[in-house]
Amino acid sequence: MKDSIFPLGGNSIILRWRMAKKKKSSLRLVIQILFFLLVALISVNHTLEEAGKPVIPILSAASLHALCPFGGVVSIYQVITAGTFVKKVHESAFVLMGLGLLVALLFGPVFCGWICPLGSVQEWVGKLGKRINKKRYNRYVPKKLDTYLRYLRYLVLGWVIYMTAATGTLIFAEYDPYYTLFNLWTEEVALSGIIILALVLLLSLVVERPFCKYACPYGALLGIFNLFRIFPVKRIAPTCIDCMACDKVCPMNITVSTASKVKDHQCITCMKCTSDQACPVQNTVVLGKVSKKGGAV
Amino acid sequence: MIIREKYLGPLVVVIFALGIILSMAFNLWKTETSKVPTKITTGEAAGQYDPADIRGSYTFTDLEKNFGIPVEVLAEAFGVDITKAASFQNKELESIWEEAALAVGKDVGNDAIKLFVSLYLDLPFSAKETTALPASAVRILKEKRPELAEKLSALSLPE
Repeated sequence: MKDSIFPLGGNSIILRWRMAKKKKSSLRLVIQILFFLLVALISVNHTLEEAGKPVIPILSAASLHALCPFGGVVSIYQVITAGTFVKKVHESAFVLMGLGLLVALLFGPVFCGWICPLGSVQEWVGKLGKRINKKRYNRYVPKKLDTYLRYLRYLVLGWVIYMTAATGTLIFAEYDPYYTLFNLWTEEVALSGIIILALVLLLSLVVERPFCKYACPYGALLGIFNLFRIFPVKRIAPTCIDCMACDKVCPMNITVSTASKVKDHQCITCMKCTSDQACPVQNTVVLGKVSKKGGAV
Repeated sequence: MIIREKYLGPLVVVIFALGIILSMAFNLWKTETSKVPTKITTGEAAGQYDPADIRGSYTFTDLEKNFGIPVEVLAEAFGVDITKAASFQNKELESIWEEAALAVGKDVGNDAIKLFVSLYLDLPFSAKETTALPASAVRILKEKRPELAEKLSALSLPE
């Protein structure tokens, strides 16, 4: 029955399916690599500047704290109550926080899926994990346990905000695998951060993006925007062929195939489930404002 | 409106880039502190710079500008090479005094600078219990504030 809605007829579904399997976008990977390099080089530049050595020209030598949007989030309380930033956090972190929230309001946690270098590193390590574990990769954690564990990151978010407000210092820096990753060559790294980073990288071999799923406080905040973002990921039921290709590719294990609109707090807007990538049917899983029949709004 | 993958990434990059450029245009993009501490708002010292807001990234020159304590005095107090004192950052202090301070279970770091500045200028500040001052700093403070001699001796690291 569903064939009738395809202008090219039933056979074209198979054709499109085969074509879809080859659909692979390198754009996201390019952007991920660019941001990874940008952050790494800025961090190296900062170290060079601190040591009084010549820095890489043009590139900023700001500290990572100055360029972390989450620094703005944890500073809100102190800015409101004392009019000052938490130590090591600067105005730039506030600007990035605002931009991050704006982008999340529009497209959800696209920051996590496209920009965050720690998310990218977990994904790259995960590619090795996929080779090792084949189809079992990203399917080890029992579903029920997994569902509860995914709310852990809200506890982390609450703890970080409370502790930062109470102490006036960036308490999370000691545990933050992102900060640790880009400061491994400095003395600012805490042992706790190294242990957590190692654990995250090891877990990435069996679970896709473990830190994003279970512990990232910034991802927790951005994830809330999935409930009301302006351009959601939508599945157009009339054209869906129930192949569940969208479910299979989702790095966050979200069941897209039964939703009309993806409101899961874990969606990172990576676009892997959409008709631009995994979905074999044109305009069936899309990012944007569309009617239930699939027409653009 | 459907947003294709090929437009989403560039769109997000453009939003961030434009936002940063705009914030620079309005002088909101600052990646380091202004090196000016907040002012004390209550009590007799109201209106003066607050030693509690001295950051580890401040240099001795920043302290001289904000609190009027000469770089030479700070260098002598904390045993910093005078040729490097102007650009010496408070956070570097720990590396100089770590061994001597740890031997008696104390710290000499940015908090010690805050304490020194507050005692030198008679400004309010509560230091951590573990904060200590080098004997050279205590000597300078005793000359300036002889009435605090007893209290200062208790803060001193052994010579």
